[in-house]
Amino acid sequence: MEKDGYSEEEIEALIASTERALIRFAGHYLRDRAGACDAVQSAYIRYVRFLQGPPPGVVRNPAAWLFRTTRNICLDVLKSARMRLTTSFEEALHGESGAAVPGADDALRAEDDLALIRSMFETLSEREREIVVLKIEHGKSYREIAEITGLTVSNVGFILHGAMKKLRSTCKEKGLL
Amino acid sequence: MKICETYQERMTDSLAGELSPEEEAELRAHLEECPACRAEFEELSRIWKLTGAMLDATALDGTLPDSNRAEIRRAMNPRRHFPAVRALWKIAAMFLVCAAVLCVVLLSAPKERRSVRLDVFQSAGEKLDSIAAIGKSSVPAKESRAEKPMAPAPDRLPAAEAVIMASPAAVSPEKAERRAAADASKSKAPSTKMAFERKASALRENNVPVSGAAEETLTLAFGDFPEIGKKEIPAVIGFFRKNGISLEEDEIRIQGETFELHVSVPRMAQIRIFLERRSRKRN
Repeated sequence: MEKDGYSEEEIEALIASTERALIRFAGHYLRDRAGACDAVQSAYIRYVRFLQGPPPGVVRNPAAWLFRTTRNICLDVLKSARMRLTTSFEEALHGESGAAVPGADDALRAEDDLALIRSMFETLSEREREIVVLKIEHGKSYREIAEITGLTVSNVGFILHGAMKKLRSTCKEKGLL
Repeated sequence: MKICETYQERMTDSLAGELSPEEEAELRAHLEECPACRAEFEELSRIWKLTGAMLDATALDGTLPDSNRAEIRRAMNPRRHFPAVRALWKIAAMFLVCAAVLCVVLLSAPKERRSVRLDVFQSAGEKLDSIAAIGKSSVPAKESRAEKPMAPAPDRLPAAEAVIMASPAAVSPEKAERRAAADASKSKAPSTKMAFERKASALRENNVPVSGAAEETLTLAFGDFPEIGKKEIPAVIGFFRKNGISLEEDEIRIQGETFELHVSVPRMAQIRIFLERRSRKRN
């Protein structure tokens, strides 16, 4: 059904194609599923209201728009709650939601490697963690990351390179490499 | 080495998929030649994969619950969930449509057939007094060159019974008088009927319609208006337009040496004021 410059079918299709990624993305900030789902819900509602206007809005890249809005909502929540950006690594590995690790010995080794990487990941700055998540987990381009975070494209590449350099240096010290 | 530092930055861009085909080919060519850079690229690749696996393992999985979806759908269809708001909108829309229809009906009625029924809030006596005063001060018409004394002011008619019906211009003065008399006869006090008839008689002598209709008639002599020139409707229209009064062709009737003006009450008042000022200037 067409109304006010958008169709409900288009919105439903956009939700279906982006909700999982947005929940994962919000989860890196807020750590709990309910909070992440609420943040993503708010992002979608803001999107619908932006399209409704007045005046009716036009969004060139809905996915990037939603990522940026989700990020802003999460940062607002974090600011009010004074939480830090961390990963719920222990919860994911030991029960709640995590990828299955194949084989017993391999699983142990993999678990150690992941734990090490996770601890090194925590040493990065919030900006570096943001860009690493958007690039490596969500596969966003430099341009999209720039649009989401408000940085320039060259700045995104520079920060990502610095983050990878740090991780490599720390991994070498810890004997991972 | 400076060259290898440049390629080290490109390694991250290569893992990110941000290099152009030419830059990618150049990097690959260098990696084949430089073992140190090749080893570094392999380390970065491993870290890249490990980071991806770590993020994948720690990320929240799943879709939005039904409660969140319901909120989003509510935002898409706000009216569906607020029937009271929708009802108010419907009422407002109906009101606007009715108002628009009423405006169209009122504005599209032809001038000569337009009839307005006016409830007079002031007494009929006051109304007749004011009309008589205007008629008395006008330029003398053809039929009444000599001023005749005005009848004394009658007793006031009850306001509720003073309903004046405007008649189309085609209605003769005699018919208007009969109608006014019929209206007056409806009043409860017999003396009021006589007072109305006395006043009506005075008004007729000054060529003022008795009914106090929405349209009035005034007869003027071309001889009194040499500026008009030709005894034609356009000349009359032009004369009055120069003096700030707008007249239509169907409001003017030429009868030999005289011309009649059939206009609304407000327009007639405007004409009478103009005539009075003109008369004062001449005197």
